Amino acid sequence: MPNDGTAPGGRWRGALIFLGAFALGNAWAGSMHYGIAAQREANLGHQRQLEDAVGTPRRDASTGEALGKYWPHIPDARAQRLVVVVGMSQMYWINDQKAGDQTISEYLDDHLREQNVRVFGLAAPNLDNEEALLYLLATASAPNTLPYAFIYGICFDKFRNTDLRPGLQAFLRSRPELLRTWEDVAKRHAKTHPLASAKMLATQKDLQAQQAQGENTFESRLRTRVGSWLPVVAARKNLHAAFLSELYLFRNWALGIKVSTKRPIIGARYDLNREFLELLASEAKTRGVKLLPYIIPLNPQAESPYVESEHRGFKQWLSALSQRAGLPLVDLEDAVPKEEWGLLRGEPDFKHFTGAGHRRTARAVAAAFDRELLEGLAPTHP
Amino acid sequence: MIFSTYTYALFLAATFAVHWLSPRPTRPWILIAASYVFYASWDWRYLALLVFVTCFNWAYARFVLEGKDEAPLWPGVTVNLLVLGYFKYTNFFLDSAGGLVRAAGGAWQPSTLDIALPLGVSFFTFQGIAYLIDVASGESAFRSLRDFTLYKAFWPQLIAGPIIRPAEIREQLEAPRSFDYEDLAEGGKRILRGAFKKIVLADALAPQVDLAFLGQGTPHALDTLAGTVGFGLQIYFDFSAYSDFAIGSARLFGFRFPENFDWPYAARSPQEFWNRWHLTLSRWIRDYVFTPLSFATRAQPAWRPFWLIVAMALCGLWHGAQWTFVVWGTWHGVFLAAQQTVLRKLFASSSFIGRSVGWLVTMVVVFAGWLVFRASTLELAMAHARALVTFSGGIRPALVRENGVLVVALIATGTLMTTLFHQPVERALARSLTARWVAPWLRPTLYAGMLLAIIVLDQEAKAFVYFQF
Repeated sequence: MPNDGTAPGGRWRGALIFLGAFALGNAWAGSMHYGIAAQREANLGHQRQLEDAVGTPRRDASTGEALGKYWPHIPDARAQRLVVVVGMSQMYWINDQKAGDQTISEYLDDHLREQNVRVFGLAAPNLDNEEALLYLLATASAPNTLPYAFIYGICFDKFRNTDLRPGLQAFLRSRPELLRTWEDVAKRHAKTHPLASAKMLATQKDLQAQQAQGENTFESRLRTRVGSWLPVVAARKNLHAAFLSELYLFRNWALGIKVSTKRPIIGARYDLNREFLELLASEAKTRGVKLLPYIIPLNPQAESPYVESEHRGFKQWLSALSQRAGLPLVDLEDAVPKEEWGLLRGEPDFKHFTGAGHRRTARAVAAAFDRELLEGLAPTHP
Repeated sequence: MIFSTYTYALFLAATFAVHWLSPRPTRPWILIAASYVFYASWDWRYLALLVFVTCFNWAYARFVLEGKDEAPLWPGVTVNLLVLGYFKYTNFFLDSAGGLVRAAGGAWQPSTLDIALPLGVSFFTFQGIAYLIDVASGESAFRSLRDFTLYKAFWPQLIAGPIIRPAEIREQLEAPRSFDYEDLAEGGKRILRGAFKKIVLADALAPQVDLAFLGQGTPHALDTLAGTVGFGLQIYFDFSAYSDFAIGSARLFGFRFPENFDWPYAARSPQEFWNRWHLTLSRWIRDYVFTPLSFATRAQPAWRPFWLIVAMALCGLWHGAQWTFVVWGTWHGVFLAAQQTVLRKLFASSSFIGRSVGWLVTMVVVFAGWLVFRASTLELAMAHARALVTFSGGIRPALVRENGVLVVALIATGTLMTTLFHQPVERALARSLTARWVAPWLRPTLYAGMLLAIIVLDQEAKAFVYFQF
């Protein structure tokens, strides 16, 4: 008689096979987990060495994931003029990095510190405008971090991203006063920026719910405890990230997507990010912070993945916004020559350059905004 | 305590162990205590409401039984409706009344009352009404308050159904139950299936759908289409997952709950859809709303379609105090009525082409309904509908490029699973799984893979969509 596992003898065999297969998966997850943990420990050690070598951090090296750790290193805005430089991965990623290479914000800091102006970099991969707004509200919420200017490298492609990343959520959640400001801003802009306002309130509601539960809920303690017995539970976040990464590569393979494949915008996300940028401009003005936006450099050698008409429309909209809000927008799209970029998956990297590219961009930003940044300061040298 | 949490797994395991290790007479009390703990874990303040509704319906049913034909039914039903109305519809009616007054030129702006919606109130009040009506119509009542209390409070069905009729559970509650391996295996498998649908499918779809329906923007045709299809699948995976959890959890304690879903997206007519979607609610609406209304006007059969629309509008309103839900219910009511009248031939064809057309029309009706159901306001629903019809924003394959290819894959997989191939796939599976060598390995390994996927893809406890109803 065929046995499908439900016959009396087969039921226990089925249970054993189930447990055996699960145990195998668990063991595999365990080996992944410990491997990733070891790698992370090595990376952290390397990061610590780098930080020790450069001294006090001049940017959030955690790229938004442990912002609270770097927050105390923001130069005191009461003692000098503070400028924060905000943007996506172009701000911190250095292709073919060599000893002595720095990022845009660090080059700018070198350039301006003699004038008693200090620069701090706040960048995160795929930074969206809701996150940029959080950086503005967070820095402007205390006198010691209140920036004189907020330089924002705007990337068209990032108008497809939404939400605060977990690290920034944790940062906002841990600052009740900032969370209240967040809510206040959302409510004030409910009529003028309904999409952004609704999104901010949704974020706030989520965070307050998390706050009400507390960081250390029974559920989270239980998960940690189960994780100490079952490696697959302990490793679930790493495995989830690895799964998404594999899925991303599979998608690229299955759909024939390359770095240069056209990447149309998604309406709902684009509209949301536009509102967030308008709101950012409005809030910067309200708080007396100079918003200095620039369109980030792009690799002239790479084939653009943007849909030309959409990109053109974006730049027209951004120009109109800048005029309306009185922002000194500069377009640095062609500022970095082809020699100063790197490769991404075998193709010219569209958005990330070498140390030379960082230096050149910093110079271009300084040339564009020096007058704004140094306004009212006595020159320290001829 | 959401079903898809580790806390629930612990609660379930502990209750299971205590229940089956306890002497038989104490088992119902253990389930009652566990049910109250479960309900109190959401908000202990509303436990009193649950106890009140339980005691009231028990006492009123006794009153009806003892009073025979002279005891009126309406006060009992009214009390249940008042509980539901106060907690769920007060602000809706105030808002709507204010809107009417303002439309008529007045200036009345009623302030919103701060009333929190007790979880599951729509379900346990409907259950109370059904019980009173059944008892008044001659069905047997529960013999003991203990069994009735367990019927009302039993946690697997307390928050979001299935809406169980007294006759379906009374004998199970009264009969002695023994531990059975089959119940454990079937219950466990059902819970595993529910967790997979909820965590791996529904929760992955949720953020993409939320974005598509973000309020007040200018919707784009493709985003709207993807969002609508995505929501149709999300709500199916989410709610059927809840039902799987409920049915599976009850089965662990030896109870058999009625099914709530039967491949709804394979339906070839609106009527068939409602015989496959949220079955226990459809049945409730049919038996306690539509049938009495039709019976009252049985001399005029022409009224039947009208009562169908009214019943479905009420079904929509039951889902929430929003006009979008009323429009959603009415929309389905109109097509159900049309199927019985002007569109009778369209859905009656037995040819392949006829059935395919019937399926296609049904899906258009169902998913258009989901668009209204998901939109937060009627204005937003209209804006999305306009975008779909006018192709505003153009037809751009933007979403396909997103990492939300996961979503696209899910949509494709889900659609295939839930519609075209379920019968052949089930037949093929049945054949291969009975093979001597493959079957004992395949199914347990598949379940282990599902459990690993659940653990890895878990985004940490998102509430079920139907909790808001």
